[in-house]
Parts: sequence; C-alpha cells; structure tokens
Amino acid sequence: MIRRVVVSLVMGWTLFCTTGCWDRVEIDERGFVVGVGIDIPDEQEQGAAEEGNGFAERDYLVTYQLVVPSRLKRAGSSGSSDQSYFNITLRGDTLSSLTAKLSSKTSRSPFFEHLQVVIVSDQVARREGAFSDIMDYFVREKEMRRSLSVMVSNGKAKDILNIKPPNEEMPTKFIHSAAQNTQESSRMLEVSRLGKVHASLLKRDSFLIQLISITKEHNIFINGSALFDGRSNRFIGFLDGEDTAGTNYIRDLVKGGVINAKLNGQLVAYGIERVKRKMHAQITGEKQVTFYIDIHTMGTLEQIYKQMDITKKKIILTLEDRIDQDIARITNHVVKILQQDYGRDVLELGAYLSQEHYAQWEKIKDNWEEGENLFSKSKIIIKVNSIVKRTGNVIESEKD
Amino acid sequence: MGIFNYADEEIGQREITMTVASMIIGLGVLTLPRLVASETMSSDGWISILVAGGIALFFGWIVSKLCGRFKRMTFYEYTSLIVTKPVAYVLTLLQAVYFLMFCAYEMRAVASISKQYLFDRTPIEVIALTFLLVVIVAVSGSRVGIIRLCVLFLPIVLFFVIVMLAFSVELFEWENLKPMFITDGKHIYSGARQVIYSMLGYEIVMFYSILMRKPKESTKAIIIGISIPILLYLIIFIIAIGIFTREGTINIMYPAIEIAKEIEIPGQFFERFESVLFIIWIMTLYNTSSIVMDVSVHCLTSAIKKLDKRTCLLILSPIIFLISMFPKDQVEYVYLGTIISIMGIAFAAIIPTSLLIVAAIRGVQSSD
Repeated sequence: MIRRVVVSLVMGWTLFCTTGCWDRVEIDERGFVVGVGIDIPDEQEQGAAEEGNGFAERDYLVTYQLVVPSRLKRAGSSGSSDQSYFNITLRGDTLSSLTAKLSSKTSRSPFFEHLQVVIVSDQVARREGAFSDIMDYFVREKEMRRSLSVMVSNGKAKDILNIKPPNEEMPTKFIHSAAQNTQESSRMLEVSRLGKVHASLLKRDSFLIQLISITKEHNIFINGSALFDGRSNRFIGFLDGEDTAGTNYIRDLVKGGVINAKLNGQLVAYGIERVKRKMHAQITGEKQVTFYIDIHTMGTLEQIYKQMDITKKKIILTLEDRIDQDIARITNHVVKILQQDYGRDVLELGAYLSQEHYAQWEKIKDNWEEGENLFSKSKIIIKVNSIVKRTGNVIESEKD
Repeated sequence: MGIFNYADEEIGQREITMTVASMIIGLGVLTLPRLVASETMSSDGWISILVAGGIALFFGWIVSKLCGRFKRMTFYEYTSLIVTKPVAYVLTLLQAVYFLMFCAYEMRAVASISKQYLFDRTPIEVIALTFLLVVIVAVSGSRVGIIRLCVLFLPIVLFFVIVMLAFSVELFEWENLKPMFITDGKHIYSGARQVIYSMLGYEIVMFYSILMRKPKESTKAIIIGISIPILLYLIIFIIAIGIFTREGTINIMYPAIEIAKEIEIPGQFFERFESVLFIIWIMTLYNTSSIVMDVSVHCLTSAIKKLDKRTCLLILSPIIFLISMFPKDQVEYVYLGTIISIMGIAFAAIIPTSLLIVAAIRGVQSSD
C-alpha cells in the first residue's frame, strides 16, 4: 500500500515537473527579423524618439526589418494592401542593447535565426573600427547564421530596406536573391557571407564586400564593391562595376557576364560561359615579385550590331582578339587603381604567395601592403585568351 | 518490479568495435579542430591527429593483448591474479573514481553547451539532471544493453556526419589548406597532445572483455574502433580549415557546430542543420556517459562484493551530479577537465602497459 502511495506521489510530481518548459516561445510570438541596416544618425534624425538621455558620439541608427507572417499568407489575394513586413528604426550604441530595446517596441520578441541580410552604410564602415565592432555582434550571437550576407550600402541603409520591390513581398528577400545573381553579371562581387567576412577580419589581407546602391527611382542596384583595409578593417573606397569585374577575372570568380567588344566601330556582345585562370609568381632578388596571370574565357556571341560573316575564321580570330583586349583593359585598369591609388591587395595575390611560396612570403609579408609596399611595386602581367565557342542560331540577321 | 534479463549476455567483435568508437567520439569532436589548429600552422594539424591516433592505436593494442589473456574475468579479478589482491583493489577503486569524474565532466559539458545553443532560459542544473536521469535508466539495465545502444546509435551518427560533410563541399576551398608541411616537429607534437585527450576511451575494453565470447578477438575490434574516430576527426578538421581558414577555426569556440550552421541544404526544411547535429552529438555523449557510469558502477560492484548494483547507482548518481555542478565558472571547469585528462593518460596508457608487462613476466593467464 505504501509503495503505491509513493509511486503515485512520484508520478504526480513528475507530471508537474515535465509540463514546465523555460524556453518555450510559440511561433506566433516570435518576431522574425530578416534584415538589419546600420546607419549613422543625422542630427535631426527622427528614428529615436526617446528624449532625455543625450546620445553618445558612437551611436548607430539601426533599422530592423520584421516579417508579419499572417500577412505573408494572404499575399496575392486582392483587397489587402498591407505590407507583409515593417521596419523599426532605433538609435543606440551597442546592437545588443538595441535588440533589447526592440523587444519593447514590438509585440513579438525578436528572433534572428532567419536573418538574411545585414547592410552597413558606407558612412558607418568608414568609421574607425566600426565595421568590425558591428560584425562582432553578428558572429558572436548564437542565433546568427554564418551564411547570412553582409553588404555595404552606398547611401543610407535605411532607405534600402524601405524600397518597394516589384516582384517580392519583402525588400530583404528581394535584395537577398538579387545578390546571388553573379551568374549573370561579372560586375557583381560574389555574396559576402558572414563566415567569410569573419575570416577576412581575422586576417591582415584587405578585402572586398558586396556593394548595394539605391537609385533615384528607389530601386536597388547591386554593382561594384567596397574596399576594406586589412589592418584597420575600415572601408576606404569604392570599386565600380568594371573594376569589380577586373578583380573577379583575376581572382577566378567570374561565373558569367557579358563583354562588349568593338569590331569595326560596332559593338559585339560576347556572353561568357566559362573562365579559367592560371597564375604563377616569380620572386627575384627577394623583393621583386612578378605575377603571370593567364585568363582563358569561353563563350558565345549574343548580339552583333554590324553584320558580318561569322563563319569566316579571320573574323572570329579578330573578334576573339578584341575580346581579349577588352578583358585585358578591364583587368589592367583595376590593377593600376589598386597598386597606385589604394596600395591594397584585394586580388588575393599575397594569399597566393603565402600558399605557394611560403618561405619567401614570410620574408616579405610585412612589406607587402605597408612599409616598402611591395604589392604596388610588383609586376602583374595579364594574358587573355578568349574563344568564341558558338555564334548563335543565325549567321546574319540582316543584309547591309 | 522485476528486471528483464537478456538471454544472450555475450558480445562479439563488431559490438566491441562500435562501443569503442562511440566511447571515443564525444566531447572532443566539437572543439578539436580549434585546439589542433591553434597549435599548428595552416592545415598541418592533420599530421598531429595522425600522430595522436597512432599513439592511441599502440596503447589500444596493449589493452587488447591484456584482455586477450583472460577469459570471463572482471578487471578486479584478473588484476588480482597479476598484482595481488590489495593492489588490484586500490586500482579498481581509483578507476571507479576516474570514470565517475569523467561522467560528471561530460554531463556538465552537455548541460552548458545545450544551454548556450538550445535552452536559453532553462537552468543548467535542470538540463544536467534530466540528462543524468536518462543515463541512469541506461545504466540500471543490463550491461549488454548499453553496448546494443552504441550499436544502434553509431551508424546514425556517422550517417549524419557524412551528410553534413557532403553539403559542406560547396563552401570548401582547397586554397585554405595551403601551404602544407610548414609546421615544425615541436608544434606537431603539441597539437598531438591536444588530440590525445580526445582519443582516450578505448581502455573501457578492459571492463567489457568479461562479456566477450572470445577476448582474443578484441585486438582487431579495438584497432578498427580507434580508427573510426581518427578518420572522423581528420575529416572534420580538414573541412573546418577548408571552410573557415585556419585563422577562423582558431577563433570559433565549437567549429563543428559552426560548420553545421554555415552549410545550406537546399529546401527550407533542412536549413537548420545544426539541430540535427545537436541530436547526434547528444546521442554520442549519451553513449559515452552511460558507458563511463556503467564502468564506474561495475568497478565498485566487482571490488566490493556486498554492494548491489542498484544501491551503488543510487549512491553514485547524487555524487556525479554534485561533482558536475561543482565548478563555478569556465576556469574551474577547464581545471576539472585537466585533472581528468591526466588521470585518463595514467589509466589508458601507463596502467595497462605495466599490467601487461607484469602479466607477461609472471606468465599469468586464464586456464583455458
């Protein structure tokens, strides 16, 4: 009898204990944060409505984009003009305290596991140490994923999160998919995954981050890249689309894109299908580094302005030659800018040396980007070899 | 309530192989890439892993030779034959204490890592207690039951690790592995020292050989059992360096978890792959904890004849819980880990070797 009483008491106690769960958050109580934009507040900025406490010099203006799941479901059905997201802008110093502040401003507690995009404005990135301070929060916080993409905005990050995308429900979703279209354009940098940014911050090499700009018509435009100094991890300048394409050719990151070559004063569009890059380096006299970079491209003709007989070998050869010249022009231009204007090696040439010529690299690495600036003094010889694999469905589309 | 007894209280070679592998794979797998990478340059840590693996294989071979000499005998019984009863008594009790502390350490690790990644607000004591209760369930049953559990879990664990690695190919960059062979011998050695703690655990065969049909078969079983974790560690290390680069790896607390968080599996449903990783990781730790607790109970009950297994468990469980909650911060916890590691080296390398030497000199072995 006593045994029964004891057993039932234990069972009852277990029942009480197992029904409690400390970490239960119902899915409809979570506020899914999908995008974060970080700006520097203007003096008259309205984002932070709190009065009283004076704001510190190092304040940020952080815009959070949250999803409204219930409206997401109804999207497509007529009559509901509601947005499926809303943005909240807050002002403060650490991102962590802002997240705490965010929970007092929404009915749902912020949840970051579905965060896709972090946009840092160029002004913030230019500040001493600001970029790495911000990234620290994202790599340290356990809810963040290392696969989220980091972007630098040319202009206010807040405005970018406020665009009205034509085909997607949410700006972040739109930006996130647009950022992945590197197959179509060689002028876009590959997605800067947070994991990769973390590795770049830890290393001394300079690096590039995908750049996003906003046009006058309130559309986004992902083109070009933001150049960061490897030592201070500070943003120091923009590379435009063509220069970014040049870095992509040299780093062997081109997955597609179009080259407009000129033949007899008329444009010919060459669609790139495959690019192979070979590189080797020669170190002479312990100081002088010469890089030989061979770029092989394969592609098809996509559009011809001046009709010509593309079955003729001679025409194809001149055409290939023009394409070579164009790619060589693009790559040499970015090399010149990087060597002379910035003196920063974002072409991963230093990394190449450390991988393939470790012993010599150990001797020169301290004088690579600074000191004697051997990067700027190194010779970079680029050879391009393009092949027109196919010429399209027709030979000529019109007669002169 | 009666206790169900399996008719077949015997195990073969395959069971021992899988038990050894599940025992070794445990805590170490999460932090190993970081610890090895911080001692070695570039991707050279794989040499350290191989060196440590080789050492473990050698001592594993010694353990198997020791077990092969005695059939159907507990650790206490055959050490009594080799080095008199009082010495065997002390050795067995020390082993019991060591495995007890090991169990507590594992439990604390499960609790604190689960708290960090899974249960934000649940108190660490509650997580640890829940885990302990489940471990007790496993230990209070038959000893062969624990081994069957290992046989059940290990293939699942290996399967998901392979899936995880397959999907990480996309992010893997060969360039990160270069340059190779630039670390000097001294650093390879200090890297290997970090790995060796994650290679301990094969010594449990000394306590399970009593269940083996033919203890002489244990050599092959231990060698394969140790090779599985070596291979697993190698793969995880190379993947971590290939994805995070060496600089990234040494700055990530638990590289294995971050690999799972970094990979993207097509189809939204599997996007959160780290939850799967946590399941399999807790499964391996559950195996490890059950084995060490069982060995601890086995040591005590075999040395103290009057002690009943269930009574022993009732006494040990609160002690394990208290030890696991004793370290108040990370520093003390690491200190506990160091003590256990030093004891582990003694029990996994020095004691089996000396026992085997003495047994060989005195020519002690089972009658048949």
